[in-house]
Amino acid sequence: MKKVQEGDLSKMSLLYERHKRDLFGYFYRLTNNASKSEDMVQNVFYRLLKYKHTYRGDGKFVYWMYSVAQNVWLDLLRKKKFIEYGNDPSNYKELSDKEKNAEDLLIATERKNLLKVALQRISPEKREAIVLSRFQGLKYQEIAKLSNCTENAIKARVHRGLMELKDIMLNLESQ
Amino acid sequence: MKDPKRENCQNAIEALLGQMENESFQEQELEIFCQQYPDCSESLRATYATWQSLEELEVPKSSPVMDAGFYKMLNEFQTEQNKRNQSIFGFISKIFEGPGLKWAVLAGMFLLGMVSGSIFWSGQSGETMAVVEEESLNKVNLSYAKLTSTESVTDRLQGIQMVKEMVELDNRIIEALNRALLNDENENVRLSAIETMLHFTDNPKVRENLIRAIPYQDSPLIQMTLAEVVIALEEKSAIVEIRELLENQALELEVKMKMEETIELLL
Repeated sequence: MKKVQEGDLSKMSLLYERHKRDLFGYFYRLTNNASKSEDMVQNVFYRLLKYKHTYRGDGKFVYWMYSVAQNVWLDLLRKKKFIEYGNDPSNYKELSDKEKNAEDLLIATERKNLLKVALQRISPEKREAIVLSRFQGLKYQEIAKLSNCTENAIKARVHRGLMELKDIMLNLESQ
Repeated sequence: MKDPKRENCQNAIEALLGQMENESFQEQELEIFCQQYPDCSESLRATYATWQSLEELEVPKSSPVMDAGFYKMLNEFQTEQNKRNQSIFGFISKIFEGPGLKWAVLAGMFLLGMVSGSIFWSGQSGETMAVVEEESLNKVNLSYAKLTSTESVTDRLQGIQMVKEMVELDNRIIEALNRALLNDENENVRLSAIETMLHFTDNPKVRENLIRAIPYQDSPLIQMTLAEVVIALEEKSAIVEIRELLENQALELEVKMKMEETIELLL
């Protein structure tokens, strides 16, 4: 990132290649929408390039990247244009068909679909805390700093999120 | 009034979550927690089971459109930066237009040049440049050797990955990538070649090779990927190749529809 700040913008492609998969996974798990997630990954890198001078280099690049990613996600929630695909299990199937993601269709079992639906039904804050801690490798302390709250608050968010997830799953399975 | 049992369980679960964030956490450790907090074992197990079940959530691969979009954006940033640098240069040139100031600035620059030149030549800069150039050449040669390896798919994939780190491509590498895309028997190698070529779409030859490859592909995955690529690159000239593909090959219905849709989008 230091090289990018010094004007060698081509180095941003190395950072992109290194982190694009994780970042795409982060947004995909939050939105359950592949094309929207791709747009959001691009938006993050756009902001990283535009605001490169604000990177102080006193922490991990990944941490800075996720703070930008979190803002992109919050902007999306604020706009409220975001379509919640998770409210009805049948919606997910429709989304997959639309995206013609053949690989996803093949591997998608009913339980996996329900799990995706359930994850979309818990609040965005709890979902994000779970995704960041479970999949993106961030520690509770780091998530707390990103979210401007205490470590215990994040743990409580994860715990409540998991319990809600379990209840929603049970509910969906019994339908 | 707080329920002491519930509060105790809350603490136990938070402690468990704290442990679970370590990758090395194993199920046996959950048992220790359950023994330690017998009244909360049900909640502890439920928390762990839900945490584990999240593993089932799979994420699809992002499409080449995302890469194409990123590299297009990066090119725009680079072009913008170059323009800005040029305008700074233009500003300095204007200073030189004033006669009095011109000589003062020239004298200053001459002195600065003398000082920096002596520092430059007293060091090993010449040698350093030679070493950098040699390293870069070695990298290109190694990448070419791996790319054209006839025996190992892994080598060819590694060679393709190495190309991504290059700033510019020489003709040998462009040709080797093209051969990989056209002829490699392994689909992953062909896909990887497309992905790497997307990094260099500012090179006209690379763009041309991506388009020209369309009629020669028989894998539906590669055909669909190339369709996405030409849409992202907004390459109208690809319509000819797509039509050729439609005429000459018995395509899968989904591919055929995608190709027709691509033509419509490009028109």
